[in-house]
Amino acid sequence: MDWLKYLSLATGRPAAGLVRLIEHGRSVDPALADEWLATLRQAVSEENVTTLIGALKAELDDIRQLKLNPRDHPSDS
Amino acid sequence: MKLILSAIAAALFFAALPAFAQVAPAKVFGAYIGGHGVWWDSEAAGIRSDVEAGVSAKASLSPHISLVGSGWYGFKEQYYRYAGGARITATDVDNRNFSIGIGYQYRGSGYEVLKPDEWGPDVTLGWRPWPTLFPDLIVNLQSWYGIDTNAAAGTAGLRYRIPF
Repeated sequence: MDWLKYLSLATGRPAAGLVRLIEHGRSVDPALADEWLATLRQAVSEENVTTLIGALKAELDDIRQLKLNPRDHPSDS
Repeated sequence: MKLILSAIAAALFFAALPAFAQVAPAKVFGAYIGGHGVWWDSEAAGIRSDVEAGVSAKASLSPHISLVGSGWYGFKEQYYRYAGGARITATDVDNRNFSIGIGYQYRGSGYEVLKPDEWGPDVTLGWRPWPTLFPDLIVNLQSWYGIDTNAAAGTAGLRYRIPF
């Protein structure tokens, strides 16, 4: 089930791994970094990473033009 | 740093006022009361766990992008802490009952053990278990990582949307 892989994100390990990767570059264990990045990539694959980034760019343009289009997300609580 | 953040928040708020006039404020803004257990990993200074209560608030600017903020009081160690930043929803943006957001927030506290104040990424899961019976009740799980301290932490608890 898809939400199970999202739950794995809630451990914080993927975020921690990404930050360590950015901060330390090659000093991080490449295999572990790959695992974390793969988890992150998988987590957003429902909408496709490219689609998500495209959507974010379009939404940022809308926000800059003060065109708000709000949603009700329980995770914003 | 706090002054800069306050200035940025105020500038964003006043710049967005004309847009808010075109959208019902209740759709953009939301406020919640809640409580949760909080756990820090072994790298955190002195506190390993506590029980917190407080308030959180959001401004949903677009289907994926929101501004979020919160303030919490820890009962066991008697501290307060706050957080503020932005969050991107990574799941179906039209699902009102389940979502996961990836965010970046500044976290601070007036309590020495929780210092330093720092930026860090977070992942938040929100779930309305009974959307018909209790539409304002949300199960909230969150974990974050402090860039300066290299320490992770997480919460698990409930939120209740304040009607306005």
